[in-house]
Amino acid sequence: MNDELDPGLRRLFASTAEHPADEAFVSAVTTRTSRERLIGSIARGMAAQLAFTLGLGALAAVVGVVLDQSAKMIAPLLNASLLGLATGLGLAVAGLVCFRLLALLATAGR
Amino acid sequence: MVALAVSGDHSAFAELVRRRQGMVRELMRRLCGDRAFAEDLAQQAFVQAWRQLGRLRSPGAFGPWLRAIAVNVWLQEARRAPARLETPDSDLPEPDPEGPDPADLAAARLDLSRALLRLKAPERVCVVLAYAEGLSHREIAEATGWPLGTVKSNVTRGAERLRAWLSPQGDRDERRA
Repeated sequence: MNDELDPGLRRLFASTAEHPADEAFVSAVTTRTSRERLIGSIARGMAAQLAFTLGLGALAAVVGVVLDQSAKMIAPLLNASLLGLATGLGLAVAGLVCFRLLALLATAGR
Repeated sequence: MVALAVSGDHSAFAELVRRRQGMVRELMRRLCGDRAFAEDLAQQAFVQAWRQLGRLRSPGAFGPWLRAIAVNVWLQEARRAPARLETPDSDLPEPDPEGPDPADLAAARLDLSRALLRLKAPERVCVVLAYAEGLSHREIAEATGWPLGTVKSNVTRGAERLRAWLSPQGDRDERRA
C-alpha cells in the first residue's frame, strides 16, 4: 500500500468497489476451458496416433526391404531340404512374434 | 487448490475461478467502463491463466500472477482497439455542479468510471492498481512490466487528473481550457 496516495480518492475507490461473484461467470469460464481441454486432448491424441503410424510405416518399410533382400537366400533354403523348410518356418514364426510385439507396444503406447 | 489445478484438475481450477472472480471482474470493470466487455475480458484472463498454469512458479504467487495476466489481457486490448476503451470528452455529460450526492453510490460510481475512461491507458491501469487494488508502486511495476519511475509518474499524474475531473469546478475549468 502506498502512503502517498490521495486519501479522498482512496475513499472514493473503496466506497464504489464491487465484488461480483456468481456461478454464471464460473460456468462461462469453465465451459471455455473445458472446450480448450477437449481440443487439446484430441490434438495430442491425433499427434500420438500420427507419430505411431509413421513409426510403424517406417518399420514396415525396413522389414520389407530386409525380407526382399533375404528372399534370395531363403527361397533356395526352402526348396533345398527339410532343414531349409524348418529355417523358413522359423523365420516366419519370428516374423509373427515381431508383429505381435509391435501390436502389444501399440496398445501400451495408447 | 492451486497445486491441484496446476496438475490439471479442472474442478480445482473452477474453484479458483469462483474464489478469484471478484478481483478480476472488478479490475476489468474499473479499466473498461463497459460492463459486458469487462466480463468478456475477465473470462479471457481466466482462460489465459488456465493455458499458462504450467508456468506458475509457486502456488502461493497465484493471486499476483493472475492479476498480472488480467492486466496484460487488458493492455493487449488497449493496444489492439484503443477506441473501445476510451470515451471521447464530448460524450461525457457535464457533472452535477453540486457534485455527486455522497449518498448516491451509483452516481459516484458512474462519475468515477467516466473519469477513469478519460485517462490514458497506462495512467488508468496504474491508478486502478494503486487505488482500487491497493498495490505498491513496486507491485504495479511487477504486474505491468514497466519501470518503477514510469509507474510512479503514471499514478501521480493520473490521480491529479482524476481529482481535477471529479471536482466540478476543475472539470469546468478544463473544458474551458
